Amino acid sequence: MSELPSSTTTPLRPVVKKARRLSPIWIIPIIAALLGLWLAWKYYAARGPEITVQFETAEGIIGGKTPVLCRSVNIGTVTAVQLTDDLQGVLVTMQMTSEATNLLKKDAQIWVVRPRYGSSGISGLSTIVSGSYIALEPGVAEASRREFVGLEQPPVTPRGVPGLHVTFFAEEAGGIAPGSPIIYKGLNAGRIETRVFHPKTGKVELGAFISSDYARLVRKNTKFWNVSGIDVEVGADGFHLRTGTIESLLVGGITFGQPEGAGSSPAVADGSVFMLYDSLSDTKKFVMQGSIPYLLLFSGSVRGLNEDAPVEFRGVRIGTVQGVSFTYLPENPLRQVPVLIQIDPSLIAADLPTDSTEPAEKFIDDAVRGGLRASLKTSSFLTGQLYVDLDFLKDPAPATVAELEGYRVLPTISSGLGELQEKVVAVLDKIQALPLDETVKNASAALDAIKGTAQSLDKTVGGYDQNGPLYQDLSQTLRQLDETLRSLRTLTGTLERKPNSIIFGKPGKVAPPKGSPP
Amino acid sequence: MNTFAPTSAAARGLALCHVCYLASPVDAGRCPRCYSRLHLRLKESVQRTWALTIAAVVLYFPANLLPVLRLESFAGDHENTIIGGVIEFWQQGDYPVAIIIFAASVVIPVLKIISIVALCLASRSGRHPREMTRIYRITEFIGRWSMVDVFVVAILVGVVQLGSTISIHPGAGALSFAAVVILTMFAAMSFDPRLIWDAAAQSDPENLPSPQ
Repeated sequence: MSELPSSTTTPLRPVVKKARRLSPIWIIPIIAALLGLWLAWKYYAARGPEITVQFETAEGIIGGKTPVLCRSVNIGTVTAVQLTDDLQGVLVTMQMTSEATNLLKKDAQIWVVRPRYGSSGISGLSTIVSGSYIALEPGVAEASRREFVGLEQPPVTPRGVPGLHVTFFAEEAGGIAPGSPIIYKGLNAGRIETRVFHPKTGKVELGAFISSDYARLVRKNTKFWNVSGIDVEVGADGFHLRTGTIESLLVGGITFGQPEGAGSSPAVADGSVFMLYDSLSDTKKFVMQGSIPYLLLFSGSVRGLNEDAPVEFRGVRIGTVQGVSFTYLPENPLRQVPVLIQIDPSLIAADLPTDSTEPAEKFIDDAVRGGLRASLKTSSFLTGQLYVDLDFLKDPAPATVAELEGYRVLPTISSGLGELQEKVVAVLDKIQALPLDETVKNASAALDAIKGTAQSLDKTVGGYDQNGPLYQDLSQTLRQLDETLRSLRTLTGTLERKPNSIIFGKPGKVAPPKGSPP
Repeated sequence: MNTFAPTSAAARGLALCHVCYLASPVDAGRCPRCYSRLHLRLKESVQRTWALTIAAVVLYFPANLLPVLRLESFAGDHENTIIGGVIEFWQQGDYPVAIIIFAASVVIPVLKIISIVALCLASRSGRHPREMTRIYRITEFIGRWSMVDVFVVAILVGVVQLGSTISIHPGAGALSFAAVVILTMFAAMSFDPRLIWDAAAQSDPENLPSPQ
């Protein structure tokens, strides 16, 4: 303690060392700054482009929260949701990560995944818990963009899956909806992706995807038909009930096949258009595109000829009746009934080119010159249904394909019911030509003679009257015969009682001499 | 150059040992009792405080901008920043929780940084030495309470690990935030409040409270 300086003694000058050099502690803020810069750089480097997507509704989309996923990998977040200027939709702004940059191609598909119940089943169940998210399916195009229009329905088939995209046109959707399967021999060959109604044409357009395994089965002449529901057919060979798979029964389905007897046909390109038939039988009934219309003028009645009735060549279907209606045409003074038919030339000659109708028309022109004529024939005597039959006549009156009101007119002959009618008339004519009057006169004379004979017969019969002499004689004879018979009975009675009386006679009477008759 | 108040121990060449608090002449160089180095004031006090405070300010931005925790559950990933969490609690009506988190995680670190900066400035100017000393006391006391957030994250990460069902991971924000809190605590520790009085004595020697 003695070493301690006291305040009363000489004050000690403390050694004040001013540290002029930079303290090593400054490394800490430098490290902090570097760390902060590194974090900031990391944050900005991870930021990719910002995109805007237009949707109909922002249901389930929350700014700052809803993630953007590509195959369940997070590639961004929704930053803002706002209404479009025209209030017709919402604009969703998304901040993408840097690795998402090359996914944002021009044809990328973006949709909202939320719980849905549709024909393709239940989807997006996990989003009930996690909340909706936005899914992105990268495109294949070269060009990229930053503004998209979102899909309202998730695409059924992911982009980039190898296969064939085709379009169907159908008269009615018939239970086919996006997600409906395309079935080939009971196997799932693809799916319907889109369904759009065209108010202009009144047809339903269906976009479909066929997986690559089945794509090569689709040919130019392949027919597609609806297998939704149950197809019941009653025919000569009985009752047919056809159903597709349970799935197609519930959600509709389409199947396809080659027409019977059709040869090979070229494969189709992506995006080809097909007609969708209502049933398998319709594929046979209807005529494909590329058919040629022809007008038939019938002078007889066309009762029993309906629309869609077949046009046949010797029993082979080559076309369809398209319309039967009577319109008075000045060029048609005979008041023949015009019948419009469609003939599919490819069913007559398979090697005809289908891209132009000219060769087919020429083919028919030649056939008409060679004797091809149309006629109405009865397909069913029960119902009186008619069909149009085309056939070559043996020695026809020369005719050519004429033109009427812009239609090509095939020459017709009356046949079928008309022919039958003619034959009946001929028979009736023959009956009329018979000499009926003379016959009747002869017959009346013969009747007179018969009458005379009858009268004399009557006179003869009159002789047998009660007062007639013959009757008197006859009754006397009968009386005598009666007496005789009575005495004979007495005799037999006596004989019964006394058989010996035949020898000895009645008692009391002198026996007749031996051997005398009784 | 009279840097110390005439009544102070330093003016008489006495220094308090940092370790065993033995007052001994600074000339000796080392504490006669525990043999640690003697300094009149904490070594490079203001410089160190500045450096640590600046580092804390730098890290304060990532601490608030980056998520403090990432919640991974079957319902999807969820990241939350401190402010985001406060807003979420507030919107859900949990006002007390929101206020506590806001106070502990946003207000206190900011106030701490501001008061440390004020102390550093006061050690130069020497104005309001009494108030500054009180600020110093409060700053040192509340410093550790800012760690609430970090503790919560640490506990959650440790406890909530249910495999794929739900799990919580600390985010870069939590690390930055912990660094901010630790740096401000060190900054407060490295500050020597006696410097305020030294500066006050230098600027206004008359208006000094005399030692009892």
